[in-house]
Amino acid sequence: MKRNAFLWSGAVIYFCLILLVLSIVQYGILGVLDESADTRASADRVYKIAYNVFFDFNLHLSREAGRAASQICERGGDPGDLTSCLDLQNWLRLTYSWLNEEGLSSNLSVSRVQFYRHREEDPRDLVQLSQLGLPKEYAYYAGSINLDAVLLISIRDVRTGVSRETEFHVRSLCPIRIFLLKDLSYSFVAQVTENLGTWIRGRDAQDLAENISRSIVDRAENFFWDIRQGLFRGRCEYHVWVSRIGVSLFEVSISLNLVELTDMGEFSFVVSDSKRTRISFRLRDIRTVFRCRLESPSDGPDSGECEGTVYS
Amino acid sequence: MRAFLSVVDSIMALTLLFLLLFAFCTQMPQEVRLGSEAKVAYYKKVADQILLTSAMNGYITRLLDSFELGESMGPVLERIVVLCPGRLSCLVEVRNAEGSILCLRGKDPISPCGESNYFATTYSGLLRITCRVGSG
Repeated sequence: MKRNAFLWSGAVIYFCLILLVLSIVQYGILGVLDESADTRASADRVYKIAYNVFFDFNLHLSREAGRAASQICERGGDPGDLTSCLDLQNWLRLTYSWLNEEGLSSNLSVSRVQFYRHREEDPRDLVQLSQLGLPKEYAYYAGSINLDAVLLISIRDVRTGVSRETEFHVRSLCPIRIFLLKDLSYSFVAQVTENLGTWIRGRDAQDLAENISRSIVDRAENFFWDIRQGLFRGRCEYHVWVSRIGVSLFEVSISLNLVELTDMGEFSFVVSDSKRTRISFRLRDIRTVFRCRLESPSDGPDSGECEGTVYS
Repeated sequence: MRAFLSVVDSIMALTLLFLLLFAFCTQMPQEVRLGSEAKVAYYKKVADQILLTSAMNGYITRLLDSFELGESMGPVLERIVVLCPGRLSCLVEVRNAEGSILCLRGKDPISPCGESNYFATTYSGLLRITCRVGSG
């Protein structure tokens, strides 16, 4: 009996020791599992946030390009100045603030930002286009703005120490056709000025002014009709003055007060002041003065003028 | 001597019982917690995927357009909710920088659930899009 009790006690102690060791081992394994799951979750989070920043940057860049295009078009400026109108400071400030709130230390670096003319042979990144809500194939991208940039994102989760550094290449597009708008606007002005010689006919100053005015209207209507097929709308305000300065010599002054071409593409607008705004390229006060002779002028008025507006 | 041995046996038996109870109390909750954490991690992953897919499909861009145009964000959020796998339930909400809910769609999942956030900058500040996924 005494020996049995001793054996029982020994067995219980032995069993307890095994249980204790197993328990400690299992506790350690669970700890490792817990830690690796935590690290994995943190890595997933950092990965998702890096893409979040990249997508947001792509959208911001496209909107900034639209905003800059709107400013340049308003003054009939050079689309080559698009990059200089870019403002990333506000975006960087907001992004750093929310990354900080999320418990992440970060470093963002934007480089090689280029806005240039889109050509069909230069395809853009399909995911980035899709993210901007743009179709991959669209007949009216030509002359719009290609966006290229490099965004280097370096993020570290302060709690777990997990970090990620990724270089994202932006290859997307802003669908506002500012380059084409500028080309078409100057093409219209060139068509008017180059054809002036063929429009000189009339009996007196007023007749000459009216003939030139009719020619401008014809030219503008034809031009606007042609560009309408490419989803553009046009408007031209003009003023013609003619004054006699000799027996058959006249001075003609033509002012294109406003040449305005608007991109009517499905995606070509910017959102500002809670509304969608179309982008119009505007050339103002383009003036041409020249002298001409009429074959057999009559004794009509010595001066004449005409003005008008042509829409499409 | 007999009585002494019985006392020793009783102590041993009680110690065994105590250790078994202790092991049960310490190990089981940890396993339950790990199981629950694994579930949460899975739901969180699904929520991440829903938000990233929404961004890639252009839904976030449309959402921001709606916000800036003062239009309802509901229809876009409904499209995001549709991305949730059928057997799970999902709630998507948009909050402004002050934390006020601007719009929400979907069904609030039963706990435990996974949550993921997507941040979007606008000219009028920051928007936080939250997606919560769980069993429903």
